Amino acid sequence: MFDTVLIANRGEIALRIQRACRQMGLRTVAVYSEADANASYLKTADQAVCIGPASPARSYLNPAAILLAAELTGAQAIHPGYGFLSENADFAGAVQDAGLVFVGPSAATIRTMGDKVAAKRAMLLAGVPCVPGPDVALSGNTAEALALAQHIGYPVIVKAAGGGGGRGMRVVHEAGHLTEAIAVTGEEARRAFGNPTLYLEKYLEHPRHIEIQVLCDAHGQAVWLGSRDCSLQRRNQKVIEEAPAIGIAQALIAQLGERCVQACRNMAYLGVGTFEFLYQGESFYFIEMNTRLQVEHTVTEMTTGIDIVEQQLRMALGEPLSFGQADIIERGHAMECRINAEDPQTFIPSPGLISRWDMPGGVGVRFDSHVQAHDTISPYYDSMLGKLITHGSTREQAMARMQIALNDMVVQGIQTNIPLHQDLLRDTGFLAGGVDNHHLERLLAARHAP
Amino acid sequence: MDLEKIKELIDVLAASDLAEIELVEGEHRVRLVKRLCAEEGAGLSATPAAASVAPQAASEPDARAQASQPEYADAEAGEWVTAPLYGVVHLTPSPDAAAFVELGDLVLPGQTLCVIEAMKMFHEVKASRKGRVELILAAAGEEAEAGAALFQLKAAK
Repeated sequence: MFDTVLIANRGEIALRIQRACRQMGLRTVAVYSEADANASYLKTADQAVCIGPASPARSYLNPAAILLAAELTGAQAIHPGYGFLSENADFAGAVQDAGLVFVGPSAATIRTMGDKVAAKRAMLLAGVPCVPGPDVALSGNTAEALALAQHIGYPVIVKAAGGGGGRGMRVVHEAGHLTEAIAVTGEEARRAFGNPTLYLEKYLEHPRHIEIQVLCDAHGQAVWLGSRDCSLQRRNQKVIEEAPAIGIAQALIAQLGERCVQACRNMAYLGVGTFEFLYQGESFYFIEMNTRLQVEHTVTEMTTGIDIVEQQLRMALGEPLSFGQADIIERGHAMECRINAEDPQTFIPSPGLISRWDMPGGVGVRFDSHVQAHDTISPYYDSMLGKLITHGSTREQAMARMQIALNDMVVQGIQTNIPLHQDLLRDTGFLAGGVDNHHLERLLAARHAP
Repeated sequence: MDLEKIKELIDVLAASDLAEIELVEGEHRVRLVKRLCAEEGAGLSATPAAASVAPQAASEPDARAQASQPEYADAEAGEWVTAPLYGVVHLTPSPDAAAFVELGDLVLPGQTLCVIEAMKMFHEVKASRKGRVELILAAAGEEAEAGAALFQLKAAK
């Protein structure tokens, strides 16, 4: 049990978590780096503690500083948010060893899902469909790798077991390039993740990114909260997300959701999680599980009416789920535009002083952001300023509301990607729906074509 | 930090064997770099000829923007390389590696001088022409405003 939650994150998600805590009567402890000392959400937290200098490695990624802040403030639980330490199994273990509650699954579960080969094995056991390719790592034997790739069929993708989120992978179209791809990816993985282990899968050329949100209590109950489509991506970073995923038979999604829930029961999963899939040719292929709250959880909140962060905290408190699968009804359609401080043409980051900040509103419009007018956006962290979310009874209504909301937003002093979103909401492919993961990159490439 | 103190510092540097001195007092930072007058092949006659003062106020954005204007230097002495965007300066490719460039180095067009990190992206700042590194105003790990002077390059034959 706990009544005080330390929020080990910054920006919009720190505020989002704080709001859920306040609504539940939980006390909040905000932690911040020197660069975030003037952040608006520090004033509304019950306590705020500086945990180090601007550099993330010395503040938001410093487990010792965060644990000390928890000890000093009497916080009994730590919510890691997303990014930073949220999927760090050692940190989750250290929190538990300190006698505190980590708001998330166990360290062992995080570790298993962080090893992409072990995760795939767990999914195959639960009957979750995976990308063609074995659930064992490459042995290091070149002849074996060539034979395996031949068996899977080119193109194949070499992936790092310690990777994820689009990092540590290389597509190979013909046998002549396989050996070199394995050598380079292995070296990158060793340096980036401290783990050179690789595995081989079929490369899908035109997939959509579809994901399933799950919620599990500590009493063996688990539910899935519908689907999301996050196919609009640039360099593996999601740009627009929506719920539900359109153009896919409901029975197929329901079957997938049930298998995700079964996998959760098998591993005694606790809290919120997301199963990410590629969808191509009316089949789903598991790629990874995120063992944390996600940026785009909001669109599912809009369609299901369920406060996912509140539920996450209730699961951590040990409460049983207060509803079953039959109680979950998706209503209408929701979409989310990530508003970033960046040049909408070149994507060069644009930190700096915000001189004007006019926000949209109206029916079905939600804006999750920690930013206020006259804030200085620091160069130390990622460029997301906030998330603009709209909901409508139909996809068309949600999109119309998004177009109006984007037009109503005025941000001056720095550049934002609002013009990119406005372009995307006029794009015939996106308006029709169901575009693949490469759609946005193709659009951007066409811009620069002569 | 008053002018008298800076003058004293210049005397200290001139009288010493040191190549540079950096002093931080609260929000003020002064870095003095000694330039050798005989640059080509006269390594033994290391006579201190001039000390350039690069004042940098660390916390007030306005003060910093002003301080980074290269008014105090002889504009004809060389070309200023400025920050293309607001970010954090890295003078080395990785924490343990050697600096991209050192004072007195001869750099070629396209050679990387430093990296500016902003929002998880890294931007290489490159020399636009051949020259000798005359001044390094960029301080590792410090923020630089867009347009702030980072290096001065002196034309080299």
